Formats: sequence, structure tokens, C-alpha cells
Amino acid sequence: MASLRMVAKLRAGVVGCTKPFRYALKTTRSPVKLLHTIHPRQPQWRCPPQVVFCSTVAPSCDVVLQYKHGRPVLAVPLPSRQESCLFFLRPMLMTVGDLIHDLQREDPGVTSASVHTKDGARVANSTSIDSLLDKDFQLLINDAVYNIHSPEREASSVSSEHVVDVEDMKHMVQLLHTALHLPDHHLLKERQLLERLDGLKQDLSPLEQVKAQLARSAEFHSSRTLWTGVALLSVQGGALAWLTWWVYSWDVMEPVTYFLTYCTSIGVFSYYVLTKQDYVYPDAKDRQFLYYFHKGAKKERFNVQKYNELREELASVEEDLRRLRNPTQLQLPVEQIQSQP
Amino acid sequence: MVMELLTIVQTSFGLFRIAVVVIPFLYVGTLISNNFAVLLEEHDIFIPEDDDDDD
Repeated sequence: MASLRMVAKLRAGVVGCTKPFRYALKTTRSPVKLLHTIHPRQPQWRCPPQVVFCSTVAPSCDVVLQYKHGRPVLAVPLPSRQESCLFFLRPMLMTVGDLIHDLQREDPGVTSASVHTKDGARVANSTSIDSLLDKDFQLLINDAVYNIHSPEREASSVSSEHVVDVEDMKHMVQLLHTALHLPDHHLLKERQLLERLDGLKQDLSPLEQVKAQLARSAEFHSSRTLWTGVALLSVQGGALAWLTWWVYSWDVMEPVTYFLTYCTSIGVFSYYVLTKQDYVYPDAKDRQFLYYFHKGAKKERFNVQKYNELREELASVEEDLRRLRNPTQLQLPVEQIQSQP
Repeated sequence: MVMELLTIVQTSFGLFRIAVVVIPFLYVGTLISNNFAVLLEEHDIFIPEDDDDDD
């Protein structure tokens, strides 16, 4: 497995240490001065500056596990050259065995490496890093014990797994119950809705007949109003034309026509003031239709309000049935109620 | 409501019916205006000056 690693080499001179310096350029400088020569790309961590002045004792400070840009980074001092090495971990993809293998590959001087829990119990190689990072753990490298503290993880990386408690059981039971009983419940509801539909249709059918008759008569009356409008326009046109060309002249008639037009506009505005509606032909015709309809309804003693209520109820029952029928046939969840525009 | 808007409402013999209403009432208009002009002249309310000379 190719693991992506950035190996950081810390230039730390160790007094009394016989290890050679890496950079040829820096051989003339005194070891002490190289104390804090750190490559600018590398991140800082706490323990190495104290390490400089102890020559033979292996560093036994706490190795720190940090999160850089959301990725966990383990800084491990390798035994061979007392260098700290950064290992970028991939919690979900790596196992403990991979980490140990990487350690050994990075430094052949690591003869034995193992991971233990805080109590000292050994952790298996097949454990994923994700579960390892839940708690603090120990890393053993060549008899050196490093206690590693695992910091609090950001909320985004924590999975939604949690200990199953009573609430979850209740939820599971409710899900099971729903899954087992929902189709039957749907069928029952459908049956109830169909019964209601039948009842409503039966109530509505005599009312529908009266309504149809009233609608026909109202339509006739409103249509008659429209044709009357055409006739009146023709009368006005004929009268003014006759007066202009045969009786008087245009010079006489022009002011007359202007004031006629102006009176028409007064009439249109008054229509708006009285009815709070624009004077547009379709709406005006509908208004007339309703006027005649209600007049006829009063004469026939037809309860318009009751009819309206029944129709609305019928529409809602049909809508519920429609919402129910699709899922019943397709085994899908029921569509939610949408507010009418 | 949209489907109602997309259908063409056709009145049978539409143009003929319109003509049947418009032309007679046009004629009625001329009669009314003529009688009205005669009435005005009779009662001396408005007598037009005859401009015969258009020079």
C-alpha cells in the first residue's frame, strides 16, 4: 500500500552525539547554533528542543497527535537518527498494521513496533485507525513507550454511530410496526375515502341539476347583455356618422364626440370604484353571470353556500384519494399536502 | 383554467350574427339622430349655419 507521507527532517544538533550532519553546507557551523534551524515548511511541535541536550537517552516525551487541515498527523521520533517524522494518517482507510508497517519501512532501525491501549493491552493490527483515535493510546518503538493523546475530533469526522439505548429500540419498534401495517392502513383509508366520496356525490347530484339549470339561464342573460352592448355601440356609431356627414359638419360634431368619450371614461372609472374590479370584458361578463345566477338561485331557493361547501369537500376527498392511490400501487411513501396556489 | 384559455371558443355563424345586430342598429342610430336634429331645429335650440361658400 502506497501511503502518502511527508517526511520532515528536523536539524537538531546533539551535544556529544557522533551522528553526522546532513547538510554539507552547515558542517562549519557549531552544533549549538543549529538548534532551531527548522525547515520553514515544517510545522512546530513541542518536544524536540528539549531533546537536544540529552545525548544517549531515547526521547520518551509524549508524542502528539495533531489535526492539520482536518487530517490527523502523528509526529514520531524515529530511533535511528533521533529525527521526528510526521506520519499523515487516514483514519478510515488505514489500519494499525499499516501504521506499523510504515514505521518500519521509514526507519529500518525499528525492530519492534506495536500499539497498546492506555492500560497496556495490545491492539490488533487489523484495527482501523478510526477506532484507535477514539481514545488515547501508547506506541511502543524498540522498547520506548510513547503515550499519545488523541485530541477531540471535529464534529464532521465523527460518525453517527452511538451506543444503542432505549430510545433507539423504541424507534426501531415503531419503524417495524409502520412497515408491517402501513399498506393495510392505506387500504383502509382508501376505503373510507371512497365511502365519503359516494356520500358526497349522492348529496350533490340533485343540487348539481338545479345548478346546471341556473347556470344555463344565467349564461343566457349575461350573453344577452353582451349583445346589447354591441347594439348600443352600433347605435352610437350610426347616429354620430349621420350627424357628421348628413346633418351638421365635423366642426360641429367634434366636441360632441369628445365629450361622449370623456363620459365613457367616467363610466369606466365609476365601474372600478363601485365594483373594485378592472373593467375588462371577461371579468365584467363573469360578474354579470354571477349576478344573474344568484338572482335565479334566490328565486329557486337554491342554497349556494351549502353547494359550495359540498364541492370543496369533494375536491379535498378526491385530492386525498389521488395522493393515496399512487403510493398504494407503487409502494411509495404518501405525497405530502401541498398548499393550493 | 389554463386549458380553458387554450381552447378556441367559436360561436356558430358568428360573423353573420354580428352583422345582423350591427347593421340594423346602425340604421336605428341614424334615425334617432335625424329626429333629434329636427327636434333641435324645431325648438330653435341649435340651428347650424350653412357654410356653402368654401373659398
